[in-house]
Amino acid sequence: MFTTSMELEEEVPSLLWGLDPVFSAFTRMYIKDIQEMKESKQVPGIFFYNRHPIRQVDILGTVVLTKERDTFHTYGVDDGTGVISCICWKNPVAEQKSLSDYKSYPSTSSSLDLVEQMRKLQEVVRLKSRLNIGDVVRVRGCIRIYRQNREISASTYYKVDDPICDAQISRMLEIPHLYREIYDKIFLLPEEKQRSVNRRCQAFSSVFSYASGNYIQELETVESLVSLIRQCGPSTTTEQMDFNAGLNAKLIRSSFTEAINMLGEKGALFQKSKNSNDVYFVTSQDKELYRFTLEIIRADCKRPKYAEKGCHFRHILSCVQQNYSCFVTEPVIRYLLDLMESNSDVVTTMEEYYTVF
Amino acid sequence: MMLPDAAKYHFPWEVNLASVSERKTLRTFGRLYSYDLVSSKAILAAQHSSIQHIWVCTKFVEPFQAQLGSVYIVLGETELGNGKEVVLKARVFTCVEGINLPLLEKAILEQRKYFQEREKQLEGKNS
Repeated sequence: MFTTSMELEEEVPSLLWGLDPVFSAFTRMYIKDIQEMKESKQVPGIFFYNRHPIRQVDILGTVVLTKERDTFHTYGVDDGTGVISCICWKNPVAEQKSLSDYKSYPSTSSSLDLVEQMRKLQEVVRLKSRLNIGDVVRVRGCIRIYRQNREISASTYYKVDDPICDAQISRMLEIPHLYREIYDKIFLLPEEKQRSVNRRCQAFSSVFSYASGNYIQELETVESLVSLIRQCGPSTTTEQMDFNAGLNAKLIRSSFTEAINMLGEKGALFQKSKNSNDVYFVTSQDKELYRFTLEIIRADCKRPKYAEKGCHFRHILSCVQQNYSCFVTEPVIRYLLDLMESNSDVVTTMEEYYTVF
Repeated sequence: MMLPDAAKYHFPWEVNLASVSERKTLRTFGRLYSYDLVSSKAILAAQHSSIQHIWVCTKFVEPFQAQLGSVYIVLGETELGNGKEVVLKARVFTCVEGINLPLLEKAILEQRKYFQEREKQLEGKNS
């Protein structure tokens, strides 16, 4: 367990957990790791091994302790690395229905067969779910913490017939592979993507700052920009670019579109029409919009209605959309107002209200 | 509920006064060489050297069907009886006759190798 390195890093946001295949799998981990891995701060019952979110586990081991309660058995399971208790619910059907319940049905030759089958099934369920010390058991379930101790709440469990230790040996041989191939490989995908997109945005902002009022096609002709985008892209695309020019162009276009969308969502870019092929404006560079918005706030703050508290954000937004361009979006105005505030052109009187002096 | 310690696999030749401590939980294996019902004592012999013996106290696992010459896996705690020899107080004593012993040995080594690698990596990261 790389606990020390993990502690320094932030937990993967729960929204991205589903992207990790380990999250939806029953992980075959060592019990030692199940006992030691860190619990999520966001969602109790989820644990992190090497930044992999773990929801459910699959263990195989020797029963070293048993305790019976009314509705469940507690089994202590030892896999040679650690011991954990497993809560195994009794099968209500197998426990309550006695075999004689099945006899009362009218017996024809075909239903007799069925009764016999049911009885056999019950017998198997009974045998497989009653465990003694020394038995080998396989348990699948979720990890939960009960009185500061971790335990597995079993969704499935059964006794493994392992007279010559085949199941245990093959699991011992399999687990190191699983660790090396999957669990020990740090889950990076969404983060890495995020970082490269962020880098792309930064690259964009910097070039946009002196290239305001561009079409998307024009951007693709700026050599320094294209090479920046190329660096940001995944490494495989670089190889693909070398032998496929068409794909190359497509990849560059999609990278640009992605970056532009990101910037648009942040409010760093805006357009005066709905057409994505039209000119883009950089919010922080556009003097016209800046002056226009400031004028609105200045004029309206003189009106008695707004004199005391200032203008509400919604009011400013609708004024800009009505009088300037209806394609200016909410994030753009937020971005702009933040900029104005840091320039000391406007002041926030309370949340969402802006005024000028 | 008090859980016992984890029983790490030990090779039979590792179960001796020099390498294990008192009250250590472990599991190991060997052929049942002799069994004395009266004193509840069994002796396991390691596969390739009959000189290597492991004393097992079977008080907790009785009654059981003793099959002399068969391979058993034993899980329990060590007791250093008067500092002369290691006695394993068995909690689990299972006959696994027919087991592929070389494969089991390989699996134990694989598991150890993995943990060693991981520790080394961790040390590398911390230093």
